[in-house]
Amino acid sequence: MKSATADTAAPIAATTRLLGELLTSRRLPLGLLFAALLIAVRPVYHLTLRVVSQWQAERLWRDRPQNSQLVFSGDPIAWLSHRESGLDTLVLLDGNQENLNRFPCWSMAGSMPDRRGLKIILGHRDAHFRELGLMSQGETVQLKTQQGGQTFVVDQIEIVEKEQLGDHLIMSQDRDAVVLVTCYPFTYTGSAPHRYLVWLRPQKEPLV
Amino acid sequence: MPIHSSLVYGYRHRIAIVKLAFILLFLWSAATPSPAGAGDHRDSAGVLTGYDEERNERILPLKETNVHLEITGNAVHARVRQTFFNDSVARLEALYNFPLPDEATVTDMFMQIGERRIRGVVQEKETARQTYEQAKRSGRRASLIEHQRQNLFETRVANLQPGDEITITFTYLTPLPRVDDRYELVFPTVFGARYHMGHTDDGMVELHPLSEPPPVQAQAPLVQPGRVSEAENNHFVTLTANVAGIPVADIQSPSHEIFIDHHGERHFAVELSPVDNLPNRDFVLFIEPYLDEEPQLSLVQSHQADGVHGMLTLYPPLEDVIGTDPTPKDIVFLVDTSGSMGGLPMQQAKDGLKACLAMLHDRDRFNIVRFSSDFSSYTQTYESVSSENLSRAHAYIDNLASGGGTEMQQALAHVLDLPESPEHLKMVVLLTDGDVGNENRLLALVQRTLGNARLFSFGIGSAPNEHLLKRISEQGQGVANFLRNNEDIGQVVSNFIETINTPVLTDVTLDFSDRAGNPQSIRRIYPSRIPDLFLGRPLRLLFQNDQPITGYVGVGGYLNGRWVQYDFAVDQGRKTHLPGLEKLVGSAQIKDLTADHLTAPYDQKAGIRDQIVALGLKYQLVTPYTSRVAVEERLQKMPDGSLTTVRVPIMRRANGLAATATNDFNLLLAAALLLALAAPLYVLQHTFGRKETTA
Repeated sequence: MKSATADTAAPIAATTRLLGELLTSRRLPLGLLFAALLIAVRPVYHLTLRVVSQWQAERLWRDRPQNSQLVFSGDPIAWLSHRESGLDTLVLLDGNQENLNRFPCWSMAGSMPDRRGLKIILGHRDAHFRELGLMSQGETVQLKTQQGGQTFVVDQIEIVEKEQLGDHLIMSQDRDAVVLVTCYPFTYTGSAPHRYLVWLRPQKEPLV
Repeated sequence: MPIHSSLVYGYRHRIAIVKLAFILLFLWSAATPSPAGAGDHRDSAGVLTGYDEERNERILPLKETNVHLEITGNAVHARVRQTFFNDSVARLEALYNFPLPDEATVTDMFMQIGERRIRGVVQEKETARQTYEQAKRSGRRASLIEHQRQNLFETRVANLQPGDEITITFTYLTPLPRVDDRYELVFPTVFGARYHMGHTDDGMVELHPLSEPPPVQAQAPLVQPGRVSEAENNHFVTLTANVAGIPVADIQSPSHEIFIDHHGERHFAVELSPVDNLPNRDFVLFIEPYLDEEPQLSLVQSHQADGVHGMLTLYPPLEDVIGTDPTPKDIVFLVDTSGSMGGLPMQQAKDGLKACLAMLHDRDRFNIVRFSSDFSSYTQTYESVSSENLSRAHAYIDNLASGGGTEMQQALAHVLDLPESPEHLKMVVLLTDGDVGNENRLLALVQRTLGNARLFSFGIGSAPNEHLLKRISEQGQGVANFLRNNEDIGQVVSNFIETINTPVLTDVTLDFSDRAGNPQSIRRIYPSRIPDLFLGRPLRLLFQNDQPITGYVGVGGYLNGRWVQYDFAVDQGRKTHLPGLEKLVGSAQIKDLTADHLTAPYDQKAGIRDQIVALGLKYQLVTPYTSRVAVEERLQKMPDGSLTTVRVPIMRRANGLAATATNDFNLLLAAALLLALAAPLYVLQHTFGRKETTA
C-alpha cells in the first residue's frame, strides 16, 4: 500500500520535471518570439496605416469631393490645424473605427459642416489627438471645410466621464461650437474612463 | 514505464503546452475588445448593401416617405407614401423593411406609376408571392407588401426602370394608445437589429422545451438590411398630422421638432420640422387632453352586413382608492446590459433603476438581474429595502457595463422561477431596448411560467421594440412603459411606481344591459381575456355583436380583495364615426388567434392558420399569412440587362459616440513582455547549454 506522501510526491515530481523540460526547450524562446510578433501585427498595421494615410493626406484633401451634399463615410471633410501643438491633420467623415484608425473623424452624432449646431470631431488619444493635451485656452485653431476656412478659439477644456459624454454634448446649447473629443488620461493602459473635450468657439471679428 | 515512452510523453506535453500558450495568446490578442467599440465597425460594414452588384455605385431607390396621420378620439388613420426613384442605369428591384406601430392594421395599398393608379389586392401569402414573381419575370411593374415578422413589414417593387418613379401608398389603422393622463402616438422609422442566436427560433437554447415546433412565421430567417449613416442617407421623412375630436390641452413631441397650428376648437395640425427629417429614431407625439372634459366611457359602433362592430373605452375611477395601503411587493428588476444598450440607453437604464429603488416602500423586497450573453443576479432571492442594501445596490448598478448579445430567455426563465411568497406580490420589471428576434419564445415562456406574478416593461433607447414590450407586458398582466430620449426619467418612474402601488382591479368582468335593465349578450369581445386594470390605463375592448349596445355597461373586479362594480350609461346622443372599425375588430380577432397559434397543439395549428387567412381575406388585411400585391396590367418591353435586387438600407439608430483610443499600446506592451521573456531564456539556454531530446 502506498503512503499519502508518495501519492502527492509523484504528481509534483512529474510537474516539476515537465516545467524543467519546458523551460529548457529550445522551442520556447522561439515560440514566445512568434507569439510576440503575432500580437504586434495589429498595432503595427494600425501604425503603418496611419503613416501611409498621413503621407496621402495632402493628396486626399486636394482631391476631396466638391459637392458637399455628396459626401460619404470616409471622405475627407475638413482640415484641422493648431500651430502651438503641431496638430495639422485631415479629418474624415463618420467616426467609426475604420476611419478613426486613419485620421480624426467628424462625428455623425453632431452637425454637418454646412449646418448650424454642435459639431463634434473625434480622434485617438494615442494617435492624432495626443496633441490635444498641449492646447491651452485662448489659442487659435484653424478649421478648413468645403465652405471655407474659419478660425476658432480654444474656449474651454473639460474632462467628463465616459458614460456622461453623450448627455453632456446633448445638453450643450451652443450651436456654433466645435468640440474635439479624445480619451483621457492620455497615458492610460486599457479603456480610459474619461473623455477630454476641447471646446472651440468661432473667433469674433474685430470691430473696425 | 519505459524511459523512452516517458520522454515521448513529456515531449508531446511540452509541445502541447507551448501550442496552448500560443493559442491562448492569439485568442487573447484577437478577443481583447477594442475600446473604440466593435459595434461601429459592424454598422459601417452594413453600408455595403447600398451598392449594386459591382459595388461601384450607390443605389438608394427609396427617396421619400410621406406620412399623414388623422388622429381622432380613439384611433389613428395613417397614410404612408413611399416614393421609389431609380436614378441609376440598372433595372432594379427594391426591397424595404419598415416597422409599423404595434397594433397597426394595414388596410389598403395603391401603386402609382405616372398617371396610373393600381390598387393592391389581398391574397394568401404564397399566392401573392407567386403573382408578384410572375409579374417580375414578365417585366411588369409590381409591388408587394408582406408581413415579415411581428410589427415588421416589407415593401418590394419590381422592374423599377432607370428614371422610373413609383409611389406606393398604403394606409393603416391603429387604436390611439393612452398612457396615464395623455395619448402617446408613435410612428416608428427605424427598427433595431433583432438579436437572436442563429437565424431562426429553432436555434434557441430551450430551458423548457416546447412540445411542438415553433410557429410557422418564426421559422422564416430574419433578413437584415444594411444600415447607413447620416451622410450616406438619401431618404427623408415628411410627416403631418391632424388632431381632431380630442379636448387638447397640450401637444408636444419629445423626439422631434414640430410645428403646431390651431385650426379651431378641437382641431390642430402638426407638422414635422424639415430640419428634423431623418428616419433614425421613432417619431413620438404626446397629446394631453383636458381631463375634466373627457367622458368616462367612449363607445363607437358601426353597422355592417354581418353585424355590429364596436370599440369600447372605459376609464374606471380607480383614483378614488389612491392612498390605500399597497400590498408589499417582491420586485425583480431584469436589466438588459447587451451591446445594443451601449451609450445613452445604458445610462438611462441605470438612472431609471436607481429612481425605482428610491421609490420602493419599506415592506417591499427587491433583486436585480442583469443579462446579455449570460445573466447574473445581485442577490440570490430578494433583499429588504434598507439604506445599507440600497447603497450596495447602487454600487452594483454603477458597475453594470454593456456588451455581448441579448439572450433574454434564460434570464427571464430564471427570474420567473424565483419564489413567490404569500405576503408579497411578485413583480418583474424588464428594462430593455427589446432587440431580440425570438419574441414568440419569450411570450410563450411568460405565458407558461408567470404564475401569480406580474411583468412590467420599460422600453429604452431611440427605437425600442414596442411590439415585444407591449405584448410581453400584456401576457405578463402588467403594462409597458417607455423611457423616451429627453424625457424626465424621474417623472416617468414616479408615474410607474404610482401605477404599481395603486391597487389593481383584477379578475375583471363585463356585463351589458339594455335601457330597461335586461341583460344583453355580446357575440365576441377582444381581447378574450380581459386584462387587469391599472390606474391611468383605460380598458379598451373591441367587439362584434348582432345588435348595437344601447343601455349600460358594468365593469366588475376585485380591488384589494373586495368586489367592486362600476356602471356606465351608454350615451346615445353622442355619435362617433370611425371608418374601418370592422378592420380593427378583424385585426384584434387575428391577434387573439395568433396568440392561440403560439400555444396550440401541433395538429390544431393548420386550422388556426386557415382561420387567420380567412379573416385576412375577409377584412382585406395584411397578416402573417396574407399579403397585398399590385401588378401593372400592361406589359413592358423587356430592356437589356438583368434585374438587380437592392435592399434599401435603413438609417443607423441615433445613439452614442465611438470611443477614442486603440488597444495598440496594450498589445505592444504584451508583445514586448513576451520578447523580454524570450531573450533571457534564450541566453540562459545557450549559457548552460542543455541539448534538446537526448535520451
